[in-house]
Amino acid sequence: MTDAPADPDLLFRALSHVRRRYVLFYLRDRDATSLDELADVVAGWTTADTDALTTPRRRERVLIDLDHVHLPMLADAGLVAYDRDAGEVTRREVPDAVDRLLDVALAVERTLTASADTGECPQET
Amino acid sequence: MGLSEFVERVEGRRRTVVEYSPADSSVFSERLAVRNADVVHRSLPDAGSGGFVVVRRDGEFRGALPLTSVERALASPGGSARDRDEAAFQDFMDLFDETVFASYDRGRMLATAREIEDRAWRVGQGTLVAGFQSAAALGEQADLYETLGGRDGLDVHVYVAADAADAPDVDRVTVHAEPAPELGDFWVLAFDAGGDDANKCALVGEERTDGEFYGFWTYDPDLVDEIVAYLRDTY
Repeated sequence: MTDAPADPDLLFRALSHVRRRYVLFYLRDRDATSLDELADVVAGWTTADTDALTTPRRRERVLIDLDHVHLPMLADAGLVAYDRDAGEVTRREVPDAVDRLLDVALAVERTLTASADTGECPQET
Repeated sequence: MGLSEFVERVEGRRRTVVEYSPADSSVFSERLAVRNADVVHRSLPDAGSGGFVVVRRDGEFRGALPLTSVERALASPGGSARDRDEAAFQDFMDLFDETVFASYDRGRMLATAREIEDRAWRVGQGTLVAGFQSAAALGEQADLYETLGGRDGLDVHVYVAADAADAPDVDRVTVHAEPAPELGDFWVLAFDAGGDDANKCALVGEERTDGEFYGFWTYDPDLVDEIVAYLRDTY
């Protein structure tokens, strides 16, 4: 299926923030998830290369950020469907070229993260 | 009300540990199975930053830690604090603030008790309460407890399952002798750190079969306070 719009500006902007990328990466392995789970995943994952404990406060901030900023942007880019009332996030079918781009983005992330010692998220408590 | 009710209560609190990692299955399911936690594994694509674990209690998010930190914290469970990565252990304790154990032998109990006694010595303020299953057991630890009692600011009370006439005197320690069956069955130790929540800890173990203990240790401040109050009010 190639029903999703794929405005290149929206697509590349979608990839320009770590929290949005990790939402997309998490959805590489599954078709749907919830806002609640994405908050756990994005908060935990973006600090996984540090020694930091992710506190409930930090996780709450990630949740609000996903809800208000990142998931609407990903929906605008045609990459996910976000049912805000139900808190459900579903991966949308995308053109093959976009699918390959997401694979490449993951590979780039893996390479650069593995070679960098600094975390992308500042430590918050 | 009795010590067994503390054990029942802690047993009833379940944690869910979700391990997110690129691996096929959880590396913790076996190691955490004896604790009061359900372990779930969810796959992640490898984004280079490694896996992490999320801990929820009664459905509420309590925290997340990198897998590597949890591994370091678990390197020496119940063992000496000196062998362990102290920072990783502190983070781990914030998440798993209590552990239920099903069969600790005397050595394991003693090691856990030492940790609480060491902490009481380091903090140097507050009340330390300790149960002894017999007059002989208190006799063996009398020197250590006399030392602890000699620390300024540390108030040490021991509860020994014996008649007052049989209980040894320990200098600088308040000895409460009661031939109560519960004191004979349980190994109990609690330290309230003089109101410093971060340092409160307790150990409660019932000797269900000879030399085998069933119970928990906890860093939950409210629970520690309740155990201290229970011993002080009851004996």
